[in-house]
Amino acid sequence: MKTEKKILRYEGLGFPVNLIGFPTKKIDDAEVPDYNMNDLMRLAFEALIIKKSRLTGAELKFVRNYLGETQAELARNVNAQHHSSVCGWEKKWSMPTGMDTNTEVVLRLYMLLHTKSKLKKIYDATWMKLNGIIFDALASLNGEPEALSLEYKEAA
Amino acid sequence: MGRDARQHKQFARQALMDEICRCLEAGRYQSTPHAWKRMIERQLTLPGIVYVLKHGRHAPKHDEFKDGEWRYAVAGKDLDGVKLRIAVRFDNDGCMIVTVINLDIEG
Repeated sequence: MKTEKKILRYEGLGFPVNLIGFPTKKIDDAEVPDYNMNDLMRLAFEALIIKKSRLTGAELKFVRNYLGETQAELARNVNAQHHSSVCGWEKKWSMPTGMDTNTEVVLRLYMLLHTKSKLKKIYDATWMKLNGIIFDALASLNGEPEALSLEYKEAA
Repeated sequence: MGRDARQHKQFARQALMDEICRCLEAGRYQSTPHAWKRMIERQLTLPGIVYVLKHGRHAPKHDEFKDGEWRYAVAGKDLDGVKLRIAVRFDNDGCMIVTVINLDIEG
């Protein structure tokens, strides 16, 4: 018999994430993941690379903070014109950033360069294929922002 | 001086920031639902908060004893230069982020 995995909607990263099958504990009457937080942030970062809807402003800010970059540094690294572009995208917060598709592809590939995951190995082996995956993810867009989903994995 | 106050002073001497850094490096931290609400209101994310906890300084003037435990204040600037003050407490699982205050707006 297949048991349904529990889904926890978690907002402790600064944006909503559906955590699927994660162990949980209670803090101040709320359920939170009982998981290494550095691993959780890494999983979220990697999941955002292939998220099947446009990144929201909060997700973009999470990515930039995770990379430890200022708005000016990120703007330079994704070929945006000015740090004010990044500022404007982040200010959309729970809504899609509004950056153009090509910039978002560049951003997601740039994120990929900063992971040590399986995705990175695929990237190294078949750059174009992965580029296609990201384009496909972005092509299946609808207007509504969608919460990121993460499935539980044993911590490394 | 009461026992709790003595313990607090002693902990401060034993380098609060080192203990916070140990918890952060080990991934042994979490935030309260109250802190999530404040983060979203102030458009802050968890890695941004972690950055301030790693690079900030202890602000003992704002430490407080509440609900039977000490909450320690750490102040610093995030990657965008926004001044934040973060209240943390400790439990068996590590460091708990209790709340976040934007000092540029809330003083």
